[in-house]
Amino acid sequence: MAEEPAVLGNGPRFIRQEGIAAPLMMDNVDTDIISPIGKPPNPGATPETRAFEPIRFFADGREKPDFILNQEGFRRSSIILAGKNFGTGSSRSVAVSRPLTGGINVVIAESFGPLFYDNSVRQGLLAVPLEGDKIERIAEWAFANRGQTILVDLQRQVIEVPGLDTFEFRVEPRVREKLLGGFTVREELSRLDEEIHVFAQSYRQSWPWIYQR
Amino acid sequence: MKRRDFIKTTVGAGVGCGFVPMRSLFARQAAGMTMYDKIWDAHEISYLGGITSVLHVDRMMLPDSGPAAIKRLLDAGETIRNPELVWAVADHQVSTSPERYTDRSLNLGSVADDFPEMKEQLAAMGIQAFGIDDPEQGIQHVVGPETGLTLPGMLMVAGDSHTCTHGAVGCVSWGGETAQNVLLTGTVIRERARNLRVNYTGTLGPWVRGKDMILHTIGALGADAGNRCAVEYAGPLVRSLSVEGRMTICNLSIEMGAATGMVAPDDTTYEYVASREFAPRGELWDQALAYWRSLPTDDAAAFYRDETIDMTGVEPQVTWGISPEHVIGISERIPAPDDAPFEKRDAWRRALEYTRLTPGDTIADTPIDEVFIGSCAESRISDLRAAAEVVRGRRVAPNVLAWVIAGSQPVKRQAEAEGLDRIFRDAGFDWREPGCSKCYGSNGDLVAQGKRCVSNSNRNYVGRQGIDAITHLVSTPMAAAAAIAGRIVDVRRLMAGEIV
Repeated sequence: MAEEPAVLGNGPRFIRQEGIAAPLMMDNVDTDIISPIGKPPNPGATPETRAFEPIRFFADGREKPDFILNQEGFRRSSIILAGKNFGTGSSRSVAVSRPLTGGINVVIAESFGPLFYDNSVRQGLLAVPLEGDKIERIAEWAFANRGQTILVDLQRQVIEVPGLDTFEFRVEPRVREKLLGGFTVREELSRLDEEIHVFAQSYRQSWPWIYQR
Repeated sequence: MKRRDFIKTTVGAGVGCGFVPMRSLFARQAAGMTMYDKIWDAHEISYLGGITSVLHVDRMMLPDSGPAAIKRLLDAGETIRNPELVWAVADHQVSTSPERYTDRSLNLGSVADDFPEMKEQLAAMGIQAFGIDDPEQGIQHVVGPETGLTLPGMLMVAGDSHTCTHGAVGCVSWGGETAQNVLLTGTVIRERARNLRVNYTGTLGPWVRGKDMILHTIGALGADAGNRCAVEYAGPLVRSLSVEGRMTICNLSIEMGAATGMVAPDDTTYEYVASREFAPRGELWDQALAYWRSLPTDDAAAFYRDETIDMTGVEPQVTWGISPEHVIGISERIPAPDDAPFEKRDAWRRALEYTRLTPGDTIADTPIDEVFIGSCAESRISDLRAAAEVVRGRRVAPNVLAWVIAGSQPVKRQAEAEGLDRIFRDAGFDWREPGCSKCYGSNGDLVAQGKRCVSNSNRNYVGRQGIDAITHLVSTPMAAAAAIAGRIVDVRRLMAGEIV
């Protein structure tokens, strides 16, 4: 087991999350579904329910009953289970911050849109890549055990589903270190300041056409 | 272990759960390198383990909020690293109304004021900033290549997701970076992507263009095909395209789920770049050109995945659903969910419910409410010329609201010099000022609630263009044809006089 980092940063931290997992078993849940921008908020939305507005609410503000987070036993979920390409689309930071505000700290999916993934690392939402059949098993379990919680542990890189199985996952070493230590990107880079400075100087010498215009 | 050796022997988890086969990495090391890996290595400052590195940034491109972001940092006593590598242009929040220059309040935020107020201060730092009053202003992914601020071989980053467009000139480019991190460090932290090559073969039929190539590709391979991949578009058909056509293809790389997209530079690229305002000249040009010629992927380089798309017989494409992968040829029928692969049936059902289409109907003849021609996908001069050719001597159908928005001020001036604006206006199009506009409405330009829009942009997501608005993605000439007919039509049939 990894030890507690000696120094903590000023960024968002993620160590583990115990919570209800909501199966949103769709592929290609795009950023315009997760967090529309440039449009007025849905009349039914509160700050906590602004994520997934287009599939959470009808235009008049009524809840859509088929949306998983509107269903009994899943309203207080903190973990989303999804299919392929979760968060495909734009770079908007609200695609991560609105779910976080709504208490969603983890998304377990087969794959992620690259920009959603980057935002999640920055903002401290844990994006866990897992094989589809494993996510299916957890989703089935979640439907059969409404209101029961699972544990997502970044330190040990495991998902524990009581009475079902323990699933191992892997995130990039740098992501794990960043989130366990709560470092900001700037703090990560400040450790490399000298190296960056030296590189930039020789780079400028080598590639003057990039600088002179 | 040395950094390079470690890269070759390490597999990473990262965005997806697939693993890079070790053998392919060894093959790459032994036999040759891809263009993506060459450019990555040239910018790598520090390796952080796994597949993550710190990279040097050649260009940081800022949007409307750029000057304000810089001001905040300067006011806080911070230093901008490499300011001469930073540039900004107002596009997302600017009004597209011709009144925007006089009634500045039409522009959202303080975007109309920030640029002129900070222009001198930024220029003194070496930062180019183009506001609505500047002759270079436009959509950032049109402006970058057009001005020569984007050059081959560069690592070009920005916040906006369609930054992958710039890869068309032979650079590596991506969005999703935060202004503050890049401005303060001149670097980014990134995970190295796998190499995916898409080879285009066959021939393009009449009125089939770059947009149809990439839409057809996303339909064939899926909207997640590029997961954790850098896509290199290759093959004779790509070579035959102009740089503008290549930009359209690279633009939709993010719609394929890719980290970035690119086309190796060639003589077409160099000719395009040579005349640009900020391109190097004289000795620097020679030096740059020699380097650029070394960039194309080595013959022996191994790809994680190599796909071939035969364009022979592919028709103009049109989307029917809520993902760019929901796409068919214009003469095809709307598919039924039961025809979908099992895991996609639910998604197709939801898509058809949203777009209010009936399986078995032809996509052609679907009545429409609005047409949008603009966006970073296709709003360059060659796109507008193609649209004007369709529109010339015809009228926009009654009850269709149709807009044309040139991608930049230079494109707009060129179009006006050629009389294209008159063709559009005479037909009943609105000819508006450059900006992102109705592609997703962050400036307030939205498709009316629940209306159906044919758009030459890049995303047909739920609510993308407006609340409950339905988007059909097509090429620019197909969008022009739909405006004329008042319904989705085959541009080839319209031009053949078969549709009145």
